[in-house]
Amino acid sequence: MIDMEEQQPPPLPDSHLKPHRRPRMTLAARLLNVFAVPGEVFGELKGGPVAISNWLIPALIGAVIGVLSVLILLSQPAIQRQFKERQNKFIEERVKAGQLTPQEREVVEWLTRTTVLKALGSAGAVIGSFGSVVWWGFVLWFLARVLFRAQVAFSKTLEVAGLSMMINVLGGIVAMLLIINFERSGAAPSLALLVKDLDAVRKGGLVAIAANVFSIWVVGVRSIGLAKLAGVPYLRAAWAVFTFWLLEQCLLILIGAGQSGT
Amino acid sequence: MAKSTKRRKIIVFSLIGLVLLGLGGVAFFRKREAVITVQTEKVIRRDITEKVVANGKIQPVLQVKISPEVSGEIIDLPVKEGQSIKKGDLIVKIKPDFYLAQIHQCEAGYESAVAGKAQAEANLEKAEADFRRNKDLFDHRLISESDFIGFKAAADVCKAQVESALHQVESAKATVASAQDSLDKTTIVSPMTGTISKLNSRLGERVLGTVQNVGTEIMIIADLNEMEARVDLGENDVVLIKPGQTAQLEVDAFKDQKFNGTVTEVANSSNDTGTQTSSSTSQEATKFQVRIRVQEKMDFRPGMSVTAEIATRFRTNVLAVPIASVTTRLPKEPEKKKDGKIAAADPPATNSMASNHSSQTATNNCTTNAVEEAKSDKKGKGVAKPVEVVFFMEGEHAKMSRVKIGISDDNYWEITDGVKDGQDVISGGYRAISRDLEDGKKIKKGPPAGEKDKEGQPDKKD
Repeated sequence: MIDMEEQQPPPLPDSHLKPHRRPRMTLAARLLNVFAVPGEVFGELKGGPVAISNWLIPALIGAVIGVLSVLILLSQPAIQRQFKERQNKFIEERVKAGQLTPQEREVVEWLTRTTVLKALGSAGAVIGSFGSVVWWGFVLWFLARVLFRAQVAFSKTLEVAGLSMMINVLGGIVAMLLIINFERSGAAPSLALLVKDLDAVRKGGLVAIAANVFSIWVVGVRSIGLAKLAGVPYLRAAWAVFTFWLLEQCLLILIGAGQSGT
Repeated sequence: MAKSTKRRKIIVFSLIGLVLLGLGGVAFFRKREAVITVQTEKVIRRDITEKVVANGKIQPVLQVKISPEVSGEIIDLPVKEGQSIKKGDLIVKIKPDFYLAQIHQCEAGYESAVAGKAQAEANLEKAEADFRRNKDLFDHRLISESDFIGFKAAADVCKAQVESALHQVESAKATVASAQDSLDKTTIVSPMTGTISKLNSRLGERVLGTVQNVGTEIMIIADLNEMEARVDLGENDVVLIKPGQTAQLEVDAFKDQKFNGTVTEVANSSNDTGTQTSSSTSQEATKFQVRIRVQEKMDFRPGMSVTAEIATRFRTNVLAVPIASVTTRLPKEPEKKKDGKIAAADPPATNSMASNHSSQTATNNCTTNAVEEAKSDKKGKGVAKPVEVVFFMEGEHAKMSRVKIGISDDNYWEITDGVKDGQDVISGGYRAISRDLEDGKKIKKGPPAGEKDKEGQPDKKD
């Protein structure tokens, strides 16, 4: 006779009892999925290890795209013409008002030469790209810590800011294509597209520029990131982030600094 | 959950791909409109003086042509061309011999008439005495009536003869006076103080003179202190000229100086009125003479060439655009008359604008297509008339604006309607304004075509 106890099947290995875990997204997947499924990306980010590439690579991509945009756009004859006209108008007004001496006028004219502009614009694109990531990383960390009393590491919010930067990169590419097609320096995926003679110096023009589809999109994505990291409902996080963004834009418009989609 | 995530990814990435492909494709395949290079100038207020330019000659205001009233040989000519003379100075002496002989002949005739008168008076006296005597005899019936009538008639005849003799004396006297007058006319003195501006005859020449007609023109005496410019204007310009208008005169002999003048006379009839021949009616332009008194005293000589700029109209502080800015274009819809009919084609406006600048640069002509279209439809279909327009620079596009023009000077047109102070009006290049520019076309500011090689493209040094 067979011993029933001996007939019992062997015990299952431990791996069968552990829940099935999806493999971690690659960096490329994270950079792309942030457009479609940012919640998943940030959800994985929350529990994962710190990855510098999550913010460094997007910042680099943003810098490269920014530099290319500056070089391409400032090589367009129409853009150069528009810029020169605005520059001349600006200088004449300042000289008439006595706010610009002849020596200062020469300096301004030198600074606004195309080669100088390209160099300054490229440097600005690099600094702006990295600066935007760091700044928004800080803002999200601050909001999580102060508003939601959540223990969120700065490195994590930096990663969220970095990954959401990809939306700004796409916005930059779209804006560059729009400017080339419309041959207007103010052409952007915003209300500015509807304004024929946009004056980027005036408050109205700045408001039109600020109402940018990609700006609003990236703020929404950052809100998702904050919600995931801080463990708060999305609406609360969105309310905080959007409010901050609006205040930031108002301040920039008031001081006439404008905005570039950050 | 995984399915919805996958679907969302597909939708989002598809949208992004479509947008990028669409914008990229448009940017790559889009044909760029040719950009026209133009020059601009600001519309500002100016004073405009309309001028009419004409050419002519300097002539003295007062000049007299000296011609004799009697014929003969010049035996004394004590003057030279260019000599100054005073009123009453001897200028010509004609040989008087013939006229002296005539006087003698007439004086003899006069003496004869006087003698005839004396004879007639003596006969009258005798006849009257016979009549008185025979009257007494007749009263006493001592002679017949026929005898008495005979004596009476004789007395009457003698009276008539005396009267006739008297008239003959007067006639002889007048003949003597006439002969004397002819003799006097052999000596010609100057009728005015002036200068011998032209001397046609020489000593010893025979000159012809009559009382009724102009004889040989011996010389011309002119007062060179008062000179005027006599210029010829076309019929389109002469209507703008009125006495009292000021003018600037440029005499070829005095190139560095400009003289001031005032219009004193405008001809009522053209120069060729009354002298038209069958060959001259339509070939030559109709000209009217205008006289302009020169205010300055200078060493002018009659016949010097002069160019006059007469200020006809002026406007102060009016909006003005460069002449090159004004051109013509056909409006998009033909103009209609009040009764609904379409207006017939008229000659393009530039013809009248060009004639106002007889020696100036005319405004740009309308396009050849517009002219041909107007000509071909002239007979009755009714086409739009070209209208005066200017182009403004608005951003990177040209904006056409219909204008109403007023007067013009050498450089600017007065615009009475259609422009505002401070607007950037396109003033060059010529081809762009006259042919290429249309409403909405892309433009850019740049140097004129001839200067491109020197300056090169914008920012070339960058």
